[in-house]
Amino acid sequence: MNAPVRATVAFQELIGSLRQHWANQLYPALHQRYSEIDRGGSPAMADQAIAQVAETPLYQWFAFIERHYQRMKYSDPRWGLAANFESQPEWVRERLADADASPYLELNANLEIPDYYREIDIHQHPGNLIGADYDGLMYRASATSIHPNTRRFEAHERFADLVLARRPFRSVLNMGCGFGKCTLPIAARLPDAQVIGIDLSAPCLRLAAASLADTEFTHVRFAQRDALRSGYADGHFDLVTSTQLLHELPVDDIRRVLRESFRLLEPGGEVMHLDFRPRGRWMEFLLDGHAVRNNEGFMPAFNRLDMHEALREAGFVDIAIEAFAETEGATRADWPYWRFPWTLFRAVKPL
Amino acid sequence: MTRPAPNPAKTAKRDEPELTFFNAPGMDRMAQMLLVMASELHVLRDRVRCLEFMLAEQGQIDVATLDRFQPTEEQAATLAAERDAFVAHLMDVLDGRAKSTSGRFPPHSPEPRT
Repeated sequence: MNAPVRATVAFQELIGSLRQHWANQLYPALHQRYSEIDRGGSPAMADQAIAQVAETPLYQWFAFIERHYQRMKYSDPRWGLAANFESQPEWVRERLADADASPYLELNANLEIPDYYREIDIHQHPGNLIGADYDGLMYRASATSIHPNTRRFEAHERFADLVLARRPFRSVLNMGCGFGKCTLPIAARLPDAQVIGIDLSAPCLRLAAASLADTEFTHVRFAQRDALRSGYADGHFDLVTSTQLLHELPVDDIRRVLRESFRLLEPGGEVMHLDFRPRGRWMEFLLDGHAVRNNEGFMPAFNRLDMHEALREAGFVDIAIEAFAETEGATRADWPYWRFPWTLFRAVKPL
Repeated sequence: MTRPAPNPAKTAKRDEPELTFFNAPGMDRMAQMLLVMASELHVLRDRVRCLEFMLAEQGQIDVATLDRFQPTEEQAATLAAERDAFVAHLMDVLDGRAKSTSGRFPPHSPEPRT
């Protein structure tokens, strides 16, 4: 088994350092510049301040680096992740070998894949999460540097803690589970539950199933199914979750996901979708820019969707929309570093 | 080992407009060159430090020996190939081959502010 060559490791570590500097040095400087102009005034003053900041070289470098550290991480011709995985097919095969005969994995080669999923390189992931066996491995390798001020996958561990704190659920569906970065922490906390992760991406699901070989879990399944029409029976689950799924979907599909969540839950069952929600013009501006820079084209529409109304329309009650701290202290008003405005959308299917 | 043919879905650029962030024409590609230069420099520094660690551990050389190094013909060819790859890596951004594309922003989404 080959590890990446030293030059690739050194390059990827450099990208990680660049990302850290961007989030922890460049962003605070940019926010400081904005705060000097907008001193808590009206939305019109906020827009004026944003327009001024957007013309500064500081913002233009901020935007450029956000775009290009991610592009280089994936697509640098010498040391990018795609070049690395392309050159190591044997290593990829070995890593995924445990998935091939896994009784915990259900793939569906005939599953209808939405056009946008084929056509948009979400997160600048080349070819998106379909088209190569290593797509799950590449996504996981990329995910290491997304949250520079947190431990790896800390947000998902903390989300699983929240799930456990609600009640001991018996049957859990994790929509858009990817390579299982949230499914597995939930499964670890609910050993007596049945936990199912579904996703469109076969390469991600294969990695998720292969990861089960490192656990003692026998209560987890991964299936290639669409969250809009999962095919499970009405009322099959008492908890439906997702993390960072909704903002990748067109608004009509978000509404379908919420209706499907409702259908799948038994009366009294709960939905917990973890995603982002900007508060204020400044964060909305930054996320609009991020959407373009990171090929997440549906994000601006999601940010403007009235989620309380959308959940109510799907039939839910006891709706709560709460700020979520992906690491200790992250929701403090004086948190100085770049972070996404993580938000938990939680609701109940009436009895 | 024969390297497999590249997977076009993973290596080909989609035919989309180039994303730019700076007001000055050409500045984005200049900035990309800087990032490539920084990458090359860092990877090289890392390589040299690793080499020094290994050679020092084995008692093979000291810094003065490095300064006096004369490549053989074969070694010189290797260095030349590395040099050419470095130049290609650096210059690729100028003709747009490494351009940053839009990712087909959905037309029905609100017009974002970048």
